[in-house]
Amino acid sequence: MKCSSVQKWLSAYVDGKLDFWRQRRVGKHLRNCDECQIALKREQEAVAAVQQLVSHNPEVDARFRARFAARFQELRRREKEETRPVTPVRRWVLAGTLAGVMAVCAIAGVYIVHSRIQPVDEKELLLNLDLYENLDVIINMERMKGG
Amino acid sequence: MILFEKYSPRILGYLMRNGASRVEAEEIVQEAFLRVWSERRRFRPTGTFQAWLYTIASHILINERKRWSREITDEQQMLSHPEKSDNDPFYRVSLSQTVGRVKGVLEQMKQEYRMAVLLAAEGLSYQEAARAMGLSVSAYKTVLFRARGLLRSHFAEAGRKE
Repeated sequence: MKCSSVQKWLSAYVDGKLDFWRQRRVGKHLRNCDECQIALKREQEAVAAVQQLVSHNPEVDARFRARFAARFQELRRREKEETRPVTPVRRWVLAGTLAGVMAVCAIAGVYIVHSRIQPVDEKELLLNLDLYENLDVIINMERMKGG
Repeated sequence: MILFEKYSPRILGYLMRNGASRVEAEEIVQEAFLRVWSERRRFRPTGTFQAWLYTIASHILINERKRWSREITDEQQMLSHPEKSDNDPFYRVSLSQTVGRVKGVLEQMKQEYRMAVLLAAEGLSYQEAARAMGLSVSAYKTVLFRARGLLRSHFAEAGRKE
C-alpha cells in the first residue's frame, strides 16, 4: 500500500470506519512507515483538539431561557386553538352544511341522469309501424296464394 | 423544556463554532426547538434525537447563511463582528494552545469543511452528519477527509516551526 493511499484513508482509520481488511492493511503499513506514523500522530492530535474544543459550550442564561419559554407557550396556545373541540352550535352548523351539500349533489345527479334519457323520435316510430303493417299484408297475401 | 435544558448549550456552542454570533445562534436554537415540537410526530426513532436536532439546526443555519449572504472566512470580518470578539464569555474560555490553534484553523476553513469536522466531533455517525449537511455519505466523507487533511497539514506546519 502506498503512503498516499494510507494518508487518504487516515481519517477513516482514526474514526474506525474502514472495513476490516483495509483497516488491517493501513495498520500494517503504519507499523513500518515513519512518515505515515507522523501523519497519524498529527491526525490524532487534530481530532483530539477538535473534540476538546467541542466540549466547551456556552452557558444558557435565564434571559434566553425565558424568551424560549414564551415562544414555546405561544406555539402551544396556537396549536390548542387550531385543534379546539367542536361545540354543539358548531356541530349543528357543520351538520347543516354537510346536509346542504349532499342535497345539492343528489339534485344535480337526478338532473344529469334525466337529461341523458333520449326522447323517442315519433317519425321513426310511425315509419316502423307502417312497415310492420305492410309486412302483415304481404304475409297474408302469400298465405292466400299458397292456400 | 427538559430537552431544551439538556441540548441547548451544545447546539448553541455548535452554531457559534460554525461562525454564528451569539444572537444568531440563540435565534436558531429557539427556532430549531420550536420545529422539533411542531414536527414531533414526524420523528422516527430510527436515528437519535440528537442527530435529528443537529440536522434541523444545521439546515436552519445553512438557509440563514444563504439569506444573510455572507461567509465569515477572513479575520477582518471576524474582528468586525462584535459578538464574536473575545468579549463574549464563550470565547474567553481558557483554551489550551493546541485547541486555540484548531479553533483558528476552523474559523478560516470553508463553512462546509468546518461543519463536517464539527459534526463528526459532536459524535454523529457519517450517515447522520451527511444527512445534517444535506450530502450523500460519500460526499460527506470526501469533505471530512479534505478538512481533516487541512487540519493535519496545519499541525505539521506548526510542528516544523516549533
